[in-house]
Amino acid sequence: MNEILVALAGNPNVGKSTLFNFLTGLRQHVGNWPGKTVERREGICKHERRTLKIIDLPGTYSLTAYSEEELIARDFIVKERPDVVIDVVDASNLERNLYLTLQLLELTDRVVVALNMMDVAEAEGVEIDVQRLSEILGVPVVPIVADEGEGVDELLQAAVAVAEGKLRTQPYRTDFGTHIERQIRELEALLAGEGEIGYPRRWFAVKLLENDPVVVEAAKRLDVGTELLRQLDELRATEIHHNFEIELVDKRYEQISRIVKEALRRREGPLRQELTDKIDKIVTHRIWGLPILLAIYGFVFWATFFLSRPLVNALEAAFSRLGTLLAAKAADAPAWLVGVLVDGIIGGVGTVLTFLPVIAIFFLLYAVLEDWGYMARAAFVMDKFMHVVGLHGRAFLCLLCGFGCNVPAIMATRTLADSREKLITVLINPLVPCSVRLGVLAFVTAVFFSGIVATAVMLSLVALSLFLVAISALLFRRLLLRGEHPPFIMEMPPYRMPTARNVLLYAWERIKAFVVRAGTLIVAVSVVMWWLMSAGPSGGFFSVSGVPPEASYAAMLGKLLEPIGELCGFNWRVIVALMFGFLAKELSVATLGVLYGGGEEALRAVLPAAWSPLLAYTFLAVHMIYVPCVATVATMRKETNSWRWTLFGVAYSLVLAFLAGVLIYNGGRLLL
Amino acid sequence: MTQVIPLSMLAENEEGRVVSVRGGYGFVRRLAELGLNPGVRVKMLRATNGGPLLIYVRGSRIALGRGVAMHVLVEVES
Repeated sequence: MNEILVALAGNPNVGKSTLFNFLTGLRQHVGNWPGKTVERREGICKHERRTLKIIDLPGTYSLTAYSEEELIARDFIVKERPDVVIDVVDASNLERNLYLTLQLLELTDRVVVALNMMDVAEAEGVEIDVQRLSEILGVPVVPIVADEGEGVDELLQAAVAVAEGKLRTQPYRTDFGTHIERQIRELEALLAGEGEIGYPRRWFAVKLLENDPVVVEAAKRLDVGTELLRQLDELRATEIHHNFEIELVDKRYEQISRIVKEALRRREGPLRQELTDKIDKIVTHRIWGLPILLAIYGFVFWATFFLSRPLVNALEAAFSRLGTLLAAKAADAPAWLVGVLVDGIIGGVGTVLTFLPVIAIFFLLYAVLEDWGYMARAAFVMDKFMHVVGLHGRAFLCLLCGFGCNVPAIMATRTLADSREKLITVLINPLVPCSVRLGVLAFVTAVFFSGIVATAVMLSLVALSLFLVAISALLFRRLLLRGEHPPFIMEMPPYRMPTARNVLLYAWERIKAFVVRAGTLIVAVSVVMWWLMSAGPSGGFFSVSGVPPEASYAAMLGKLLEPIGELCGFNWRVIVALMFGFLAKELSVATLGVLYGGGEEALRAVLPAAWSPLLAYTFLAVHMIYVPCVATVATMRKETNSWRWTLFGVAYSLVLAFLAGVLIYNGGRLLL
Repeated sequence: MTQVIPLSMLAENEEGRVVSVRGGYGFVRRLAELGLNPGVRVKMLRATNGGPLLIYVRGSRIALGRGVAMHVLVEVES
């Protein structure tokens, strides 16, 4: 027997990912659905000498054509024809969950229902007659507790039996009532003349009545297409009082109520107040909600960027020692080879690795909050405030995290529901000044200004950044969402104890994704930048330490760009420094140190002579705004899954920085 | 005596029964998929000033923007 293809379907927040993690463990791979920004998770699971390939479909409430996630899920079932679909259902919320179940049963007969969270349901006084439910639905129903793996063996047994055809199912067929059923039969009769249509016929007919855009398009390509659409038009014209789309939804719910009445019993007696409601009373409180959120996020921020500091420093030191060691060992080797190895590759790999402690701590904490259920509450509390810039509450943490580092901040946009909103949050994130940029800001400010002026300079530049974040968000929303505000509708999952498996796998996956997908690009850019800095047209490579920088390709490029830079008062040295800031923002100061001679410390003495305070201020403004560092760009590419949007984001920030530079420099000269 | 009001005007801990959902098909369908369709009982868990609302419907807690809740009419005992 070959591999068995298993699809996991279900509503969001029903423990589908928990089941997936339990089944696959480390044998899972996370990517994107082809051409989409939606996450695709697949993994391997062994069961009784069989290999199960498990695909975690996006969590959905329905299978319409109106959201990317739902289309992906139903296309997978129709086109890839999995051997079995495991429908994960939250037993404590049976009514709502069965809505998807009925739709799955309309689409395929190879379904097994996994009744998760039986423990919660029992605690809430809900008793489910599993046997009866299975009889009504006509497919196996297996109670499980995904957190502990309880019942999973039985579930896989049933899934394999259905996949191998040893267990015949008789899926429940939703009865849409005499009137609609007649329409369905007529459409089906028309479809009967057609060969293979790629979808189950009854389902196809139902979707035509629902006016499903994808199915209507598919119908146009059929031989009977014109006939089908003519009949539908007639139907709509003669029965204007019938809103089929809504009626079909109502019919499904009608039958669900009947199923629930038969298979579910609520224990009598007063319901005790649930823990979830008690916690919600506090964390969504109109006064306390916000301080609690700020305290929790404050802790996450502090832990991420301050607890990781010693580790980051140790990694940096280790890599610089490794470089020195290698350079000494390879003293006889050609200078270019040492350069490539030490400055290019080791430097690049070092850059990648120094991000790891930050990403690890951030996503461990993030996963705990998400798994526990707090993230949804935070989005609820922040929604009012984020509304001002046209974003939903969830985007807040992504922006806040940007003050520490834009890389995990952009990676965190993955959990935003709307793909356009996600794109906006990715695009504006680099404008949030990260801690490294704030460091450069503090350093240069201290060289030129002191006392109250220094404070004003720093505050004004941070304010400028935040102002640009806000107007960019509004601008992109105009551009991408064309002014519409997507309605805020979000389920709040009950609080659950986070499981170690979920949290660790989540953080591990983030780290792996960063190293593999972003890391390679970072190393490649490091090598190129090193080459630009240490090679020149006069031939030959300069030695690692003694660089005569004026003769390098980097300097040539800087001089070439000088006429543009001069519009904001920048000479080629400043331009080269900014170029190297692309590698890592702190390198801009180091490069200035090299180019003005004497290194970073001597800058304190040299810079005030070379730059006017106005130029320093202009430099800082440009430095805050222009192209994010290469790690951020690589992450943008990874999360948007598109070079086009990544380059757009880069170009946008460049133009914005240039405009700001020109305005500040020339405006300042007029005023001063 | 019953009266029909927008869901957004339900007070905290007050319950009502959905009478109708106004809006485009897509909007109405989306709410229905989350369990918010005519006939269902809802309870207001949290109504923040100017911010979103938190309701309890069909066994789950759903957060709704105030604008969304304006389009849902509920019947309450008065």
